[in-house]
Amino acid sequence: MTTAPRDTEATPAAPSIAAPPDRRLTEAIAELEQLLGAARVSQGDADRLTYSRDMWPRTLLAVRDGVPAVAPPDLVVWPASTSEVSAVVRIARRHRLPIVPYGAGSGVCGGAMATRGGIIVDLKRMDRVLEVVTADHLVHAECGIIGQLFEEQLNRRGMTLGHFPSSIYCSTLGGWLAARSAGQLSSLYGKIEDMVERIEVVLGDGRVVELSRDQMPDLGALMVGSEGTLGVITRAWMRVRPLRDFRIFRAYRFPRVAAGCEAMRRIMQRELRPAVTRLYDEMDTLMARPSKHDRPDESSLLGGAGALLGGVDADVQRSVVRAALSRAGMLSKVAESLLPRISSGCLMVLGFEGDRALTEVEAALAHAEALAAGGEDLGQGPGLHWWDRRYAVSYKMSPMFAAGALVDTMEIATTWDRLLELYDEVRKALSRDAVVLAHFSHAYAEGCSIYFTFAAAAKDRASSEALYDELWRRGLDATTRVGATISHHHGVGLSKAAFMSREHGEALSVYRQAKHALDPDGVLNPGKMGL
Amino acid sequence: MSDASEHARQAEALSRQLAEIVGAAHVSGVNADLQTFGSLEPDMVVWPAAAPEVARILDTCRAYDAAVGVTGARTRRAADWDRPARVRVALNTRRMTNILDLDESALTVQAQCGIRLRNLELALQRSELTLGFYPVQLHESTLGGLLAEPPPTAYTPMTGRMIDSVLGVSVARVDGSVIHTRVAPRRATGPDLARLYLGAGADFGVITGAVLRVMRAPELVLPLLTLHRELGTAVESARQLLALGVRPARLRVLEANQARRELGEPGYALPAVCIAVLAGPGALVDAQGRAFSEITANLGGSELPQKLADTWWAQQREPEREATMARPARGAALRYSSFAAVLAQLRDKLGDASGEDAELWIDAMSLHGLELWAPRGSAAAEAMDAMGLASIGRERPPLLQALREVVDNTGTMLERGPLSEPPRIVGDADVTR
Ligand SMILES: Cc1cc2nc3c(=O)[nH]c(=O)nc-3n(C[C@H](O)[C@H](O)[C@H](O)COP(=O)(O)OP(=O)(O)OC[C@H]3O[C@@H](n4cnc5c(N)ncnc54)[C@H](O)[C@@H]3O)c2cc1C
Repeated sequence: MTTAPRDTEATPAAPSIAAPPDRRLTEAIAELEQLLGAARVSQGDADRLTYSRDMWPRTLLAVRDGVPAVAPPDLVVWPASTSEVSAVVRIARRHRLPIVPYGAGSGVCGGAMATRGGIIVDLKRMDRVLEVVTADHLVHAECGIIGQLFEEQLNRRGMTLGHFPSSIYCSTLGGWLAARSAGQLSSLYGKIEDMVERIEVVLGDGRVVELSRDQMPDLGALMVGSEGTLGVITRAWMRVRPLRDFRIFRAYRFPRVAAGCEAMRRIMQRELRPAVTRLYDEMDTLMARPSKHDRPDESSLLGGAGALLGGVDADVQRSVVRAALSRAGMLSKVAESLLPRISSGCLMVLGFEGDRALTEVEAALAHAEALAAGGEDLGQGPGLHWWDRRYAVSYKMSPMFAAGALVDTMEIATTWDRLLELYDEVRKALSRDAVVLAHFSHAYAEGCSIYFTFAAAAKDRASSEALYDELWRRGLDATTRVGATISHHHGVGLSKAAFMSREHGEALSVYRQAKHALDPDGVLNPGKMGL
Repeated sequence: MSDASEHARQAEALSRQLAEIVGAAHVSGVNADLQTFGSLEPDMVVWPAAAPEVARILDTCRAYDAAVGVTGARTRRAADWDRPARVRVALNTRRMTNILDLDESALTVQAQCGIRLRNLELALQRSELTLGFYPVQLHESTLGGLLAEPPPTAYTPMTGRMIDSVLGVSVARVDGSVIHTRVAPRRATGPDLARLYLGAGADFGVITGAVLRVMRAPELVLPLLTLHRELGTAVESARQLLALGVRPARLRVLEANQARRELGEPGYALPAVCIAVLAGPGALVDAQGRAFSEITANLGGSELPQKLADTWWAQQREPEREATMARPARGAALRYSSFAAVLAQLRDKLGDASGEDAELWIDAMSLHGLELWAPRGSAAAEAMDAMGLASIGRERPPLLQALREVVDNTGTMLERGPLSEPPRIVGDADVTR
């Protein structure tokens, strides 16, 4: 039965796509069809396959191996209103079927996967902007709206949310809130949790509550980031800003990561607020060297490799990539030893946006800080280039998998005092068996996030999965040892669940208590986030 | 045995247990000590020195079915006891005043909950750091009090609310455990667990310490006062400044009566005054100042002399003066979209009231709303009540009771306010029929 709990959620087995007969399910389907109409309830194979995974890269190993239905749900429903979501939850609860809220499925941690079967509740029909109060810079919207469409509606009214994740075309407002997402301009606009004023939530018993940041305590902050384990976020009042299109970019070269980090720290601690601060480590900068091919953004590893292999026969690609990356540890060592000779330093991109007069002053002050920290001015070219291509490279992961590699990104964060230690330790932990690049982005006055990209290869699916799990284990082990957070913005889902207790320690019991209070029957997204 | 003697026996036994935890010198049932806790009327007061002691105290009180009320500097009224028959313990944090860590590289400070804001600020000043320019009237409050029961005034546009500067908290819980939420920039993994405790009084445990973000003392602090013919344009000038992305260290608007109180009689009328205290790198502050002048001029306002602004700011930094000016006040959170209508209605109700009765000021401004304040008991405050404007600081979330039942099922922690309020459920219809 697909609805039975499994022990090892981090390695979901591949269940048969054929749904087993189940009386609870049959009854639930009848009730759901009465509620939503048959067209908005599906038990069809195509839908169950489509919703059997999110963008967790690990699942691509199964897909590559001919198992596309990684964790199919029992059924998929498409409610169109809060009251319908509430009713769906009540039905699920009555029949003890898990509920998995589903935004656009762009999550990269397995959070939207129905590993215990049950009902995927796709919220994308709830996509209306309900009210825009220009005078208050507040917008009320349903949570299934796709990010880019939301932003476009705001732009037409002269406003912006200021939230630009690379996945903006394929993620929803609700998914952003559920996973505490960060956009590329977070140093200026903050993370999604800084932008939310009030949310409407359906709890595990179907009740609908409103939580606002004006309430004390702010229980909305418990919901935001809970990845569907405490409630389904159906609507939100978001804080927006006036749309500004004046931007200044500037790039710098630093001899080492440490000097670049120091520049970022100085800039943020002087209370300057660049919209973009990105520092690429030496390896990442090297891969990002201008070529006639594609240029990278999120990770030049993906862009660089994609560019190098472009046009080569698929089978040849596969064997080249696999051969190179199956010795990734050695490759890393060689690169490391060559680095002093071939390094072109570390590229840093700074970008400012806002009112022209104020932005020019801020950019000039930041420029002085970058130079004072040892940066060499590279002009505005690399920054403008990054801006033009800022959403491009994130979509190159699947081709890398298809070419025989395994690739993933690990976004962790800590305070400035531990940042370089974190960088060294995680790099060391991963580079024994993977090629590792990193960039530093999402800087704050108190610290910064590091975005590692790692690639490796193994001979078959089983050994690839084992290697993948081992790399994550080592990386997060190093992260928690340094005292950093295991995720800055991708969330936890399944992939980091085992490390939740390492991250939170005793404090995780608070989360468990909240889960018990708000979802006593454990209907909502069971098995996720180490609960 | 009579109820009274059983109560005394229980209190006596509990007192002995608590003495074992904190030392006999730090538990007292002496009237002189108890009386200082006024309306709390505890059977004993206990002064722990560290988080593990607090946790053991709570655990012990739970075993005795005693109720615990937590007090810091007692600058704010404590809640009332819920079940009078229980032994009552006042847990006072005045011995928990240490700064545990000051990291000048990450700009974070970790301090115990009993430290007064004044002392924390003084210590930070020695390293040319500050928590932000919070009103000095908060300086006598303890950090724990400010985080557990945040007053609305603990906000500046530059820093946001003081609780927004919290990167992590340590909490002693009734089950005897101490938890520390992980410190990270914008804690990102999972829900922000610290938020359960911030603003929750001691409902879920005692905040024994916190890690907060601090900032370098700004290179330049420039207070500016601008004069407007009416409150509406003064508010609009502040809103436009915020819309530029400027985050002043203070941003307020005063109506004529309040302006006279704060600025004296400069010899000309002050119908409405906007105050912006700009802080940051010199060149940026100058540019922001120019932008503010331009906004003011465009709205038909004018700048008041810099000397007046400097004097006002100097007075704001004087604890004695600020303390005498701080009065109990009644505030309402408003949106810009409804502000003009609310103000017109309020003015209508006030008629020709003047002086203290008509004093109004606007604080806690953000791009999304503002707070309108009046002295408590004034005609303006009564009119706000009559208009049904929700009072700031009273909004409690739904689900609190459900959480409390799981976290503290013995009801050891003294409840704040009326927790019996029904949860605010906005939709409960079972549409399946
Ligand atoms: C190419 C690419 C680039 C990316 N870049 C970024 C980036 O720059 N920044 C960033 O932060 N992330 C990024 N991500 C990750 C991902 O886009 C985010 O995690 C995003 O917030 C997920 O939104 P979604 O709507 O797709 O949610 P889903 O993937 O559908 O769901 C994510 C989790 O939230 C839960 N959930 C979804 N909706 C709700 C709801 N309404 N109520 C309650 N729970 C809900 C789900 O059950 C699941 O646990 C990227 C992903 C990809 C594939």
